[in-house]
Amino acid sequence: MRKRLWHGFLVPPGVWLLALYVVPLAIVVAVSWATTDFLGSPIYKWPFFGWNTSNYDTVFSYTFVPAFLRSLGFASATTALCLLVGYPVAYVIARYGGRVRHLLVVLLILPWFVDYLIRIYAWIALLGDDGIVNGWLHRLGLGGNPPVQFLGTWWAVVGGLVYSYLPFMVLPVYASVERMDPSLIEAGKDLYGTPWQTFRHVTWPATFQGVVAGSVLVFLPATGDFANSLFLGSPHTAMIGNVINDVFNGGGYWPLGGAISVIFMLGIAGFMVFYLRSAARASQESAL
Amino acid sequence: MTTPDSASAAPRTDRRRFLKGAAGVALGTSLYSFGDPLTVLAARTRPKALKPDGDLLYFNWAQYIDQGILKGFAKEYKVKVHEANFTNMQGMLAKLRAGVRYDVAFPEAQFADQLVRANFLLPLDHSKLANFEQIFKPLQNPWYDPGAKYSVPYSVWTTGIAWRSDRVNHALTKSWNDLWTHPETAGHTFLLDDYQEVIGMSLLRNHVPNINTTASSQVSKAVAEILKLKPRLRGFTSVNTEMANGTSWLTHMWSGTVYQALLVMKHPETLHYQVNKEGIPVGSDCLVIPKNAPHPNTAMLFLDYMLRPESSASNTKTIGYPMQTRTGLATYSSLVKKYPWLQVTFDEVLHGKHFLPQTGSGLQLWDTAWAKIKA
Repeated sequence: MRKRLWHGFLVPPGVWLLALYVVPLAIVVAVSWATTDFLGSPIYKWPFFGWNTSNYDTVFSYTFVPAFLRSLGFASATTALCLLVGYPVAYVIARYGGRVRHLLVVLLILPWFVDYLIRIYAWIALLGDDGIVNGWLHRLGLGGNPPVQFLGTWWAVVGGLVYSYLPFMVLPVYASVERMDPSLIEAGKDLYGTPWQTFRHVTWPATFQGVVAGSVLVFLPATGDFANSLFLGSPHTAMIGNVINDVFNGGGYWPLGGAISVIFMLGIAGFMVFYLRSAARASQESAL
Repeated sequence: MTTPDSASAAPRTDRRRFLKGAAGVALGTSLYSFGDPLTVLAARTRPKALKPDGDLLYFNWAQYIDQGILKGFAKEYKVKVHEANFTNMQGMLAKLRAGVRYDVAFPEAQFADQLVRANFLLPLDHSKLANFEQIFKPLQNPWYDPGAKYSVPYSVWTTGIAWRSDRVNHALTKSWNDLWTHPETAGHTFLLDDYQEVIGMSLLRNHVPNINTTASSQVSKAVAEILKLKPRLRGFTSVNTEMANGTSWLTHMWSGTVYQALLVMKHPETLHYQVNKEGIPVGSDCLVIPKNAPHPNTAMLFLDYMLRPESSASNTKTIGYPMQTRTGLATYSSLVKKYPWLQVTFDEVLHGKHFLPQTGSGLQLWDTAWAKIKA
């Protein structure tokens, strides 16, 4: 009886996953093999017979490789920068934040209460050719006419991505630092470890799980992001999310968009398996 | 009788029923996405007398109408106007295809053509449209809807090239080639964010007169030329922001958007526009009533209200695109008197190049080409 009750709790999440995850995913896969009718609605074919594979041929041609690589490159750079900025921030807040550390965390995520797109527009207002920063530069006599072009560059896109996803790195690292027993660091120092050695052999391994979690949380949404490249980038910084967006909003030929999405998901899934396995191995090795 | 087992039977059936219901929801969702909307839509009979039969469910681009018209209509007929917006034509088509119900929608001509041919629209009883004769005569029989059986025209525009004379000194040559070769504008050039406009423009430059060709060699060549232009591009845009704020010096642009830029610029005299000798794409929007409109009478009243001379005049002034009525075109002429290059001539409207709907393998060819341009 009681067991049944507990199993009952699995029903809502199960239904949720089925309806909002499995079914839509299956539809994306089905669309990728479909053809379209006069109005562009997909015509689904029974599996294996009459499937339209021409869109996969397109995806596997060289055409979209640069956008795939850009997505991976931008997301990797974003993850590295988030780690570089986020780790010290999380560490300092967790170890030296004292009684106000929860407040500091709230302050850190405060901008994220504002809509994602509004925050990207704020960057446009700041960095645009007629933006605030160019205004300052002009007044200080440091250029500004013609204005410095900040937007439309790959680093503007990566900057936007870092800004968008930084909390996803800070929060897991913060949790892992906070969970760590501070006496471990004292022990490291007692054993005549330099600060670097103590960090390398004590703190880093103890917080490594947080770093792995943070990296996954930053990397995954960053690879699929299209808004930053759309608003802060140029035609030369298109990520795969932009291409998919353009397929759906351009001609609206869903099967091609579906095929790019499926291949992209498989690629990212493969990449994540590889990453998590090597992270697990690294964490085992450093524990030895 | 009451054993522990049977006591627990009740919640179990409940849960089963719940699961069944949930499965029904999931199945319903998938059927909804798989279903053919044509069979879902039931044909409606035409109203006998024109009295509003409910609030107006209005579906258009955002900020693409004089809000005073919506307010005036609501007041006169004592109905509410529920405004819904789409952000592009594909979004509009997807909603209508999925059977979402609106009373009046604003498709572009080639999408209206698709909706007419797919039998998605309610036929209009012209005797109920007191202002039908306001429509500029040749457009009472538009190419996308012979006899205007299902639509009344809205705005019209040409596609050309706009530039800022405060940034650009070198003269343009009235050719699409200016986008490729203008000596001062590399890195400050924008193209329209529209797959048909971009590929069609490149086809015209390649002297392919059919801007709807599905010959893959012609489309590939057009794409190859755009890819050569791409290093000069700063971006793709369909709005006036970049031209107005100076980010763009040379832009592939719609005449109506040029007019909107004039309205917001500090020095509008620096903005110029040309149509090009290889061919002038002409686009237009119209108003239609979907077959599944919940309030077709209110919709008919709204169509007629839009055709009134005072609506045509105020709307043309607000959105900067001429309404295709006698009043609308006259209002526009006087609006752009200062900018003769912005005139949309009757000749252009009637003999310009029209984009047709791309479907089936043509759509696959064109959308794949677009993805290649954007990747």
